[in-house]
Amino acid sequence: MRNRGPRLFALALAVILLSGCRARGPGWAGQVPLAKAEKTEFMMDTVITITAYGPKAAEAVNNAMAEMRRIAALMNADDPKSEVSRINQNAGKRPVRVSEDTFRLLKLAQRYSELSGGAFDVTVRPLVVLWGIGKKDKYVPDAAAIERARALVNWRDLILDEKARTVYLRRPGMGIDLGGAAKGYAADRAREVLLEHGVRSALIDAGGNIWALGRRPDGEPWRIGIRNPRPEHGGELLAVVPSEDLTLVTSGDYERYFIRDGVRYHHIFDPRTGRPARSTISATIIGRNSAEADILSTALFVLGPEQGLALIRKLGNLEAVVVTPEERIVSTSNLEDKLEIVRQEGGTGDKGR
Amino acid sequence: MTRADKLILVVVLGLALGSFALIGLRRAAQVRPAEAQVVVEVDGRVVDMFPLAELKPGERRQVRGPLGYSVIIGGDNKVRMESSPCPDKVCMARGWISLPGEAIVCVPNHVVVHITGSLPEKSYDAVTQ
Amino acid sequence: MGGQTRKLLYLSLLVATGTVLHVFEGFLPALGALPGAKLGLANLVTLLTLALYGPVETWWVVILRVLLGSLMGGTLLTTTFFLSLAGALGSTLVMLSAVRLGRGALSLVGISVLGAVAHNLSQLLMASLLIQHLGIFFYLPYLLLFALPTGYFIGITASCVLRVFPPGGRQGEWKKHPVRGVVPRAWNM
Repeated sequence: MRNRGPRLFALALAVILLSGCRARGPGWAGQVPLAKAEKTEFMMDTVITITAYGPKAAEAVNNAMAEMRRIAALMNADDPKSEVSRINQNAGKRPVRVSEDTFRLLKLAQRYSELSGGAFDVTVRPLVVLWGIGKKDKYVPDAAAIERARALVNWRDLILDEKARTVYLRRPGMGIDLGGAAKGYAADRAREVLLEHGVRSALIDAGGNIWALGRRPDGEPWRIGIRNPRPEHGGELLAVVPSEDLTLVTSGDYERYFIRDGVRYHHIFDPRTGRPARSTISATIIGRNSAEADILSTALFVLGPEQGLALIRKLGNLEAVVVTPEERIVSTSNLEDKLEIVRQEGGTGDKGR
Repeated sequence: MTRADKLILVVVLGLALGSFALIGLRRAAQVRPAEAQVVVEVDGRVVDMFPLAELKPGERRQVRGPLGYSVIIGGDNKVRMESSPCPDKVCMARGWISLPGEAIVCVPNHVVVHITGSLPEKSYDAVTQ
Repeated sequence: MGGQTRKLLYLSLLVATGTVLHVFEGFLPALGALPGAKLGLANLVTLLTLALYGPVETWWVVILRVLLGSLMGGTLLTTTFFLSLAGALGSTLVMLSAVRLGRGALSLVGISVLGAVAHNLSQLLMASLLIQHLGIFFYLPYLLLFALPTGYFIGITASCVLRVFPPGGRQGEWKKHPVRGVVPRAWNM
């Protein structure tokens, strides 16, 4: 009796204490919190942050970051030793054999160049170099120079040989620019790596390209804000989208730009005019493939609300939000219920313009 | 009582008065923000949230907890628990709350009504831009 | 009666008293509209057990009292039960620690006040866990203040009870009694 006493006591205590642990909402009571890992690095001209939750979160984040670095190195057009630079250096000379990653992304980019009727064009590099937005100082090229550069932009002259896995630009002076796709592709790759490590809840922020993986650790969907392109009118955010396993990519005229003579010159060119696109100030794509969303946000930006949203609807399985130069918000119909508009009303006036 | 007893009494009294003073100071320093939000939680989950100014005097909101419906009622820029299915009615005795940081808590019905200064500081996890 | 039987009898008596006080206190309305602000009548029994016997006996009496009291009060496994349990376990832990660490510097009054504070703190912690909200700590200063008179009152009462109902247990259960003012003596009944 004396010996069994303590054991009975312990048993009774355990039963009492455990009965307090009935399932509550995913939260703290009785639950071991998931390990969190977060890492921020500067690459691809932007800040990349990966936040992941899971038993192997730290290792997952490190490996995902390494994968993004690898992709960034392949596709950096400003690094003369990158694959993309080698393609550009050999324009009009010879095909260049590339990695599977570069080839796959170029194929995707070419497909959407065609689908968008050239509104997105992966061979836009001559225009990017000419304008040098963010590198040159408030430089507006003359019409003849723009015309010369524009003539070198044509996705049809990008020859992809699937069997040999080679890439060839037909004319000298042409150039590939994956600035509108590489961040998305890198985010997709990082997501794959996280998933391989058993991460089921993570946030990849590749300079504003967001991959919301799974749900938040508290069981709620991630809440992803869409930046208000004119924060002086109505605050920092335009809207919030509850997101589960979604990627959100936005193209805006506010990222790299200069204003000369009251005109805003930004970094998203309409390959058909050779000048910064004018029909949109912000375009967001919500989908499940970040490279695709990255490319399409540029296409949508260039095409404008009407043609752009028509293209998005035609492609299917995608949602989109566009802000017009009048600061009107237009979105695909499915999104209207989910989009939480947080921009303060009365913010659409002309003041400060 | 021993000297140690007295010491304990004094320390506890000091702690109590100190925390009262702290609360008083915080309250005195607080300006009522125009966009004060009433947040209603059950089991730690936000079930309702609205601007304090939006709740007109006499207007009621119901919230369902494990014991039944708790009813909150609005006043002139303030709220209180009007009725509650809990046995002790501590939440009703709390009276009006109006300042950010104040809360009405009903432990038996798992209901918390509290006031925040504005929309939760970070209502999003990341921003696409 | 043999020592063991006598001890068992008195412990049972303490559990019974505690249970009655526990149930009785549940009938009282909340004092001053404070959650968990109770006189802590049942704590009286905890104090007595602690003074008369040792830590093991105290834990037994406390846990049995909470279980039986909740069973009879009809609150078993409800919110109230978890609050009581948290309060009882928390205060017992603190009071036993106070006895051990105090090494005779504290009387029953000081121990009782510490127990009352711990009781209220544990209840607040449990309550904030149950509702998953820290807003309830708003009541902390009130409850600290409230713990003073209740703890004092219960401590004085326990001392009075011990005067007419002198402690002892088996001689040497406490060699030198760790609570000031409590002199171990053999049961003289």
